[in-house]
Amino acid sequence: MRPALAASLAVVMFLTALPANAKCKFNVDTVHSRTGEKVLWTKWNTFTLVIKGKVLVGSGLSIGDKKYFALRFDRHASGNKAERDSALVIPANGKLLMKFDDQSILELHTEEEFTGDVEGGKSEIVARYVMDASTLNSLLKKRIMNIRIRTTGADEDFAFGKKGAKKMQKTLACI
Amino acid sequence: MRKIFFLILAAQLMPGTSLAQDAECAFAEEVIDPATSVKTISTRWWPMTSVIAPVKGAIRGVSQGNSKFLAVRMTAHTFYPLPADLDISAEDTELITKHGKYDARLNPFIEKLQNESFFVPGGSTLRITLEDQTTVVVRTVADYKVRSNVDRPRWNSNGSSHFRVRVTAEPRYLLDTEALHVLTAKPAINMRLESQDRYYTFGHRQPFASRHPFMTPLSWSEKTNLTIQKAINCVL
Repeated sequence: MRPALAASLAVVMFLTALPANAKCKFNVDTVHSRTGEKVLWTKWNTFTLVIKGKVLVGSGLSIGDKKYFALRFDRHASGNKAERDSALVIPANGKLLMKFDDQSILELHTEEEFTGDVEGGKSEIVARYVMDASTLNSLLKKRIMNIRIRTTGADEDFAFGKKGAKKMQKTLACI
Repeated sequence: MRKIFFLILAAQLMPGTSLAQDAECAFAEEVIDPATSVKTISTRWWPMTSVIAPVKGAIRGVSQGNSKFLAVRMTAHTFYPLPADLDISAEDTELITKHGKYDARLNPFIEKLQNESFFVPGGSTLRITLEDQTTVVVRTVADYKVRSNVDRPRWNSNGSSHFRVRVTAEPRYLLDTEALHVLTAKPAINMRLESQDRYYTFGHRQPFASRHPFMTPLSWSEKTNLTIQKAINCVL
């Protein structure tokens, strides 16, 4: 290949790659307080339609070499303090089931237990699910249709629109 | 005279000198227990929240003998419904006088709240979230009473009624070696204080900002993130 052609190809590749990287926004870009590993949390994105009622917000998280899919949602919480505290709990090794448009199902798990924070009659939870390289690859290639989150109470189901599925892929591509 | 002035100035500017450190740390109290001879040193209160914050607070570092504590001063408004068996109506607004005295009918209810709700029991948690989103949980080692003022009851348009209660507490949290290490290594972005019947959140919730940004307890600035580190470093 001629040097001039190779140089112009490199410039074109750089310019096309630039907008994708520029769109990655991180809320946390720091080092871990205990291990000194690099910590990145992407900006939270809403994956489900707000007008449908239940809202699922997600973020991509990387701590050192480990990658996580973080999800945030809430549930009504009432009663005394103990009842409100246990209104929304995801146990250690809790399942996240993801259904794709080819009808295949992918399973992710939590490493630890997560408990919702109660405020104003609602319990809001932020749970992290581990992703290995092949899981992340599937999530970036296939179109997600539904998510089912196993909690200590009832399961939580969320349906993804076309836009939400794309948003999720863009978020995870950043880590 | 000039020489003395310049000597003091030089001493203050030298990093690590006790004079410079004392000026930065601003200790407010030093008490020696006559019975045990245990010395307690407390820094001044550093405000952690802004005037508009729904939960207002300040923190100080405390050194008591070999133990280190983080003390939190918290003031917040909470709401409680009027007891169903209290026979009062919307017109009955003199249940609490201007001087803060409660009507005799209200006294048992207020006492019950004070004994069962308004306190921070031993073992209660203070959860501190650091900049990297990890959390540190520290606990009280004693019960702490909460001061409270009850406002006049208010009636909603649907006929229900509630009290607004202003609660003030000053619990102390024991810092173990791990907590001391982590809290002095990283800035903190928020704290959640546990009382007997609820939680109080200080500081901003970023990056877990709510979908309703105006509802978030946005109450300390990024500059304030370093305050906990500063207070603890002063008593190490």
